[in-house]
Amino acid sequence: MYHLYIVENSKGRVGFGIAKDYVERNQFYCGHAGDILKFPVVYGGLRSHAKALEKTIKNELYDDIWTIEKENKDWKTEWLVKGKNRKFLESYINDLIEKRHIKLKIIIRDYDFTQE
Amino acid sequence: MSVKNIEEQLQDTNLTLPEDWKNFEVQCQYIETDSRAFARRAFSYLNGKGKKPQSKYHLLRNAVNIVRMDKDTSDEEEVSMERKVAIAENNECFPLEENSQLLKYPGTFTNIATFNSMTDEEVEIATKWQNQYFHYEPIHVGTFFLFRDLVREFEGSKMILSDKLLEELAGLLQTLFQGMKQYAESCKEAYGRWHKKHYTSDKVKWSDDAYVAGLLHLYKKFGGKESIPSTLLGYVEDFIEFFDSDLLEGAENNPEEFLKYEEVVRKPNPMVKLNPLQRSSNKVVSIEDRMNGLIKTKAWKNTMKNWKEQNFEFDMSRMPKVSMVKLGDIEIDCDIQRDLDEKHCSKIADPKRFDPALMQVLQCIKTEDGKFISTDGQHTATVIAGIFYSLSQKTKLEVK
Repeated sequence: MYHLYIVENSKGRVGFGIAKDYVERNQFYCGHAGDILKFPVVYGGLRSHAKALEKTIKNELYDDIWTIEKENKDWKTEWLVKGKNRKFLESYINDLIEKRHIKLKIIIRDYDFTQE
Repeated sequence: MSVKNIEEQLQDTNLTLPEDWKNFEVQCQYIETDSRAFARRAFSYLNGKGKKPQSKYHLLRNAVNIVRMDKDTSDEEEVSMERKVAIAENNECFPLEENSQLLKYPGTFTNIATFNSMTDEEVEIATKWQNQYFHYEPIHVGTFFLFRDLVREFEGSKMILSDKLLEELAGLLQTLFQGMKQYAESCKEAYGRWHKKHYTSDKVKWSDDAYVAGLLHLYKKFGGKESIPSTLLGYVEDFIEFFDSDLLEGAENNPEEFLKYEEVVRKPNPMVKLNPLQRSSNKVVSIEDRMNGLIKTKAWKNTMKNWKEQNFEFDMSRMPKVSMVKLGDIEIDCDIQRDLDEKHCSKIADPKRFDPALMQVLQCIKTEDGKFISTDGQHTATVIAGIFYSLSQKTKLEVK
């Protein structure tokens, strides 16, 4: 099983990503942020569908992706601009899954690796 | 273009056909220098280095605008390009520039070279299929490769590309990959794994033929029954075994379920109104407008900061000069310019396209001893010399 997750940092900015092992990925986020970071939603299913959904998010939410400009180059992150909260992203993803028949299901909510 | 026409035109502009092409004067832009290094560098810059090249999209846009806005249908190639764009637009598919902000919208595509290589029929089938089944996504170039190969091989084999096959292929792409974009990525991954197993080299030589072959082999594996030309199935069959195992497991239980396409609710495509090829901007801006846009940017501010930090100055004495120079007085340094391409010269002079109004100013250096050495434009200069030589009263019999 492959996963697509929503991540939220301590300032309320939300992001997204895909991983085979979401437990390990959450540990990485926490290790780098120096804080416990939650995955508000983790979806599981086919790897190809998780990857396709991630591509769709990057394309359709192009204007809502947080972009950092450095040395005349734009660096697109996998975080959304401020003001787009977890509710917005979850609702957008759930809508896509339903309307486009994407084979992904919510497998866990409000996850962090300290949980059993 | 006849001799009489040229003579008439020259008389209209108070010019006469030169008895000797060497005396015909052309516009030259030059820098006074003896530096061959400057000339060599100038040749590189004038021929691409550091220049923003014209994109395939820009060429397509110009062709379409000539036909649509200017109503000029004298060039067959432009008419053909416009016709293909119209077919695509009719199926809500839209060519765009690579970095366009509109690429987030469905039906958009950027691979103009592949689009141009397709026939009208291939464009019609590919874009109609895209609009019917994947109307919510931009077009991946794999779709063009897929349909180019499908249409050609089915026609070559005198077989019918059935609606059922087209729907089942859409179903397979939807259920396994959510569309062509992810299929293309998964296909390349599978092909890479297959290559690694069979060859010692790590360098995978991707072939665009694998798009159609991979999909049709998967179609057969998932129980597809429609007839397919054997030429399309001759491509390495076992490479599909290298797709993700969680996908292939589906073929073991109810494989036909994977061929069923599930409808996706259609939303109005914003591109129908935004399509830049359907409406001219009717916008004319001044240099001041452009400059005002430029100086606000961070990139420009950084560059100007560098000027200040390096005490860089605009040296007015380096500005090029322009004058009329006789063709016979221009020399070409063979170590700087390329060999003359005679076929290219003949194309430039083709009466279907030739127009003196399109002649570019020759670029030269003027050395201390008064010689003009061309750094760019030898083909233009040679063509003009050739035309006058071939048409002049003095030499035309000789040419005949």
